[in-house]
Amino acid sequence: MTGVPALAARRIRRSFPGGFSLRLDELAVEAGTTCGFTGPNGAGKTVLLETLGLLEPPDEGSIEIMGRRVFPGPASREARMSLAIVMQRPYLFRGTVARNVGYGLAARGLSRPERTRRVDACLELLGLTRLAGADIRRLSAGEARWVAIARALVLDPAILVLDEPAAHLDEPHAVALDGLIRGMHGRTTVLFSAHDPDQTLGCDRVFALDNGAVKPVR
Amino acid sequence: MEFLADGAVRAARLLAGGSREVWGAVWISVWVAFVSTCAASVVGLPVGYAVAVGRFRGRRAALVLLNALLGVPSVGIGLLVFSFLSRRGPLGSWGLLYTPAAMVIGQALLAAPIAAALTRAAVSGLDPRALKTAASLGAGPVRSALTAARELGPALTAAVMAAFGRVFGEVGISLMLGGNILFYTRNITTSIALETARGEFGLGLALGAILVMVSFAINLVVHAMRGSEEAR
Repeated sequence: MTGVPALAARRIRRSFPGGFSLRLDELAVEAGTTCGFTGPNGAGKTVLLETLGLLEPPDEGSIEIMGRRVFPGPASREARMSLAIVMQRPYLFRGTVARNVGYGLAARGLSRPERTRRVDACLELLGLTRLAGADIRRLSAGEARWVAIARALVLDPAILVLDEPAAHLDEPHAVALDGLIRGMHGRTTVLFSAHDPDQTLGCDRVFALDNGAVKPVR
Repeated sequence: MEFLADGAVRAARLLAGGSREVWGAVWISVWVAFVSTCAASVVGLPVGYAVAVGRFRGRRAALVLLNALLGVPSVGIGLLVFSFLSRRGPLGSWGLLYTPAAMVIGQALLAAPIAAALTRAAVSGLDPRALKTAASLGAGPVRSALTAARELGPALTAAVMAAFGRVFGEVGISLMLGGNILFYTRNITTSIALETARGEFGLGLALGAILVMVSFAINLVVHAMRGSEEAR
């Protein structure tokens, strides 16, 4: 491995009532590579990605993004902005698809014309243009997930975290997503989880989770 | 029964005839309650949000205090504010006692805990993914709060309406701090108290009918908003 890893985590522990605990000794994901996490239901994939995606803090350990420590201690706004996450059950805000996709751009202070331009381009890339003005309450589960992916992609993040991104997607969309992830290779660091190990075949690195323990596969 | 029937007929005549006394009291009730609800919302909504999502020392105590304030009677608040605004009180030189401004202060203190408690309850019921998603997309604390407000629009409007309903129907603060001055601080509730005591039952009944109608209207709006929220 060369240079500073895009995302590095050491000795991560996160415990829950009932005895389950996430245990990750060391992870270093090189910039521009793809890292897959597989495991059965309840193995801890979502807990791991929520932790690495800075949604939930671990009980102990350290996390660095581009060499800058984001845990322990408050994650800098810059570090947080360099990362986008799509949760397993994404939440869409009230309103239209376009408003949801543009939310992160507005949070970054982009002007309205610039937001509109980037949102339109992203919607077109993902084939969502016809849904731009649609109310999110009228979307199917697959469409909602696709919108959540668009909302993350439009930010052009340095690190993209996807929790079971293929769930609820029909085959054409799953294939399109696979193409998108492959297309980001070398440019964006992608971390994603998958129930099916076959979905991680194209990954540079793969980790398996078993009852909270994260072990490298390759 | 004749007494009641006579009162009802007089009330109907007063309402239909556009009695200056009746509609003057209605106007004072509406605008004082409106201003005090606005002031209470400016404070109560952010406080309710902070108590719901904040992780700070004393949060539990703040929650207990908030719930305790819901039970403070309006006359108690009237007494407290009176002690500050009376001539011998620390703010006596401001000359606010027996003015609409004094009523606004008292009613705002009555309404703020209601707005805060209902906001806290609404925000606590918000899908936890909403704020996580906002933060993950780069929203700061203010944008996250505004996003929560948008997501909870009907519930927060219901909280404000409930606060308005509470102050619109209170009598203790209006009487103690307003002084029941005709066309200046006499509102619906203080008019009802005065006119009924004077034996002017018809006028009291007319004002009471308006009070009940406004109360029903507020409840209908709140109910409709909760219904639209549940249907979402």
